[in-house]
Amino acid sequence: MLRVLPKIFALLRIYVEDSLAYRASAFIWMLTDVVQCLVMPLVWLSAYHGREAIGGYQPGEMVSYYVVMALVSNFIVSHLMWDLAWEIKEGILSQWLLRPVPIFWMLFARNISWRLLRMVLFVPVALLAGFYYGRMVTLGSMELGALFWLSVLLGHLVSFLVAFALACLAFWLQEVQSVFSLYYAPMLLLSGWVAPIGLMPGWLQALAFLMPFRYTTAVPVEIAVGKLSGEAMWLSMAGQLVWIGLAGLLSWILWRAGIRQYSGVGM
Amino acid sequence: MKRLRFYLNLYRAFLRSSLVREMEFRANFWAKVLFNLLWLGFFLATLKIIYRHTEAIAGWREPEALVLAATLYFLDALISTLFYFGLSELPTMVRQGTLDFVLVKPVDSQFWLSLRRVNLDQLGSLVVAVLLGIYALLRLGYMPSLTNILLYMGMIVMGVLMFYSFHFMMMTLSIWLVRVENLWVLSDVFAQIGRFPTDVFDAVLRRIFTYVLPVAFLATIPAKALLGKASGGFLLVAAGWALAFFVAGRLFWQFALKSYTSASS
Repeated sequence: MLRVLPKIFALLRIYVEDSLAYRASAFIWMLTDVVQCLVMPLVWLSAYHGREAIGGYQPGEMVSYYVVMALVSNFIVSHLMWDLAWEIKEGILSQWLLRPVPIFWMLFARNISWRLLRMVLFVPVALLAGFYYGRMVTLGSMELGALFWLSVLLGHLVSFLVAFALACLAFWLQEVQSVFSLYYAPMLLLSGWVAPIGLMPGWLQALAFLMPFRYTTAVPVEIAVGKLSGEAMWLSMAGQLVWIGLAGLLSWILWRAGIRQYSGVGM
Repeated sequence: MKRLRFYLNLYRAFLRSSLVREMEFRANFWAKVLFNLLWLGFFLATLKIIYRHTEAIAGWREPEALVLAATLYFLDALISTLFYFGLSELPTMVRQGTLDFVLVKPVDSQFWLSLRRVNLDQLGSLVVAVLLGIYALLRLGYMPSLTNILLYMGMIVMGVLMFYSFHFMMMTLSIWLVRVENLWVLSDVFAQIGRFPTDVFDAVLRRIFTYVLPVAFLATIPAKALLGKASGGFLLVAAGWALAFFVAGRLFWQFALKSYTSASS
């Protein structure tokens, strides 16, 4: 582990530079979050009709929820399966298998550099959004302590490992892109990106608790806006650890099996 | 006149080759239909979650919001059928230099790039959108007058034209931004803003999204026209916008071609 550390730092440096080269793409992707951050709170704000709270969320808390969600999902939610699947299909994977760094660390470094860039780019937008909404409502108080950041990190790992396991399907499936597309609708819904899970009907909430998506973004964001604390919070963070274990194990099994029958097209 | 017949024949050839292509990938056809239904379900779930907690958002009751959703879904299916996927290949063509083969053809390059791929797998979505719209109107217990229906259809045509020209301009950017692969996201963002009634925005943003970046004309205003809440004057504004966008898109393309240097030469 210690011997691999300098390599990881070297990789991080390379990939941070690499992702900076794609800052225009990053900026365009960010606009999707800007729209979500602008539209959803305004939709909810026009739904209160003078009421104190909706599903336990006061107007200011609702706004905070979406702003924090957009900010942390930029860091947490990984989409590496698209690139990795393409690299498996085209045989580009072969050149990495020859390098003296475990491919897992390489992918991790590449992914986290890109995610960090995306989050840093979003910080000014989040501040602007805070300022814009601050004139309309009193923003909810935020819990941005160590536990929140720990939960963000765990959420990142859950999303990374699930995406990694998905990418491994490219070893076997021809039309793997359609599988990835199908992944997004339940993911966006059950990760709390669309709306706080607490506002959903009971059966959907139950489903959200069983699937990995809640443990990516919903848990840290609910901690941040003060909707998840005490025992429920510890349970949810334990859930994050469980999903890291499960998704990690699944990735490892799929990767081992996949690499054994990988033929390195184009070599 | 001869020119017109030439282009009509060309479009018939595009249709034929698209149909042949579609027959080759029949499994894909059903996968696409399923996929589109999933996204519609996703958006309807979002609406459902909101309307569990409220009677109306910015004056739009649930069935009215469903009319809006059906409108946007219909528009989306129409766009995908007519030009979206063909046009979206432009950045790849620029990157690989295959745009050269288009430019040397004795046809208008905009015509060829925009219309050569007709996506027939979206026809199912068109039907679903109409059914959803009828269901929403039945729930409202509202029967639109013939004038309203005609107004609505006219506005949808204008909305398609507006989106087309916007998407064309965004794709044209690839002439300079060769390395940016996700320019299509810009058009998606444009449509995304219109997913909910633009009435939720404050006065300033509402004006911006009506008169500067006219997303309100994609779904909100057409849906209002169908529901009898928008005056016929808006159709004129929409037509004005659509024409302005179209001319701007064409000029922008001709201007961009002057900077095109081809990837391989």
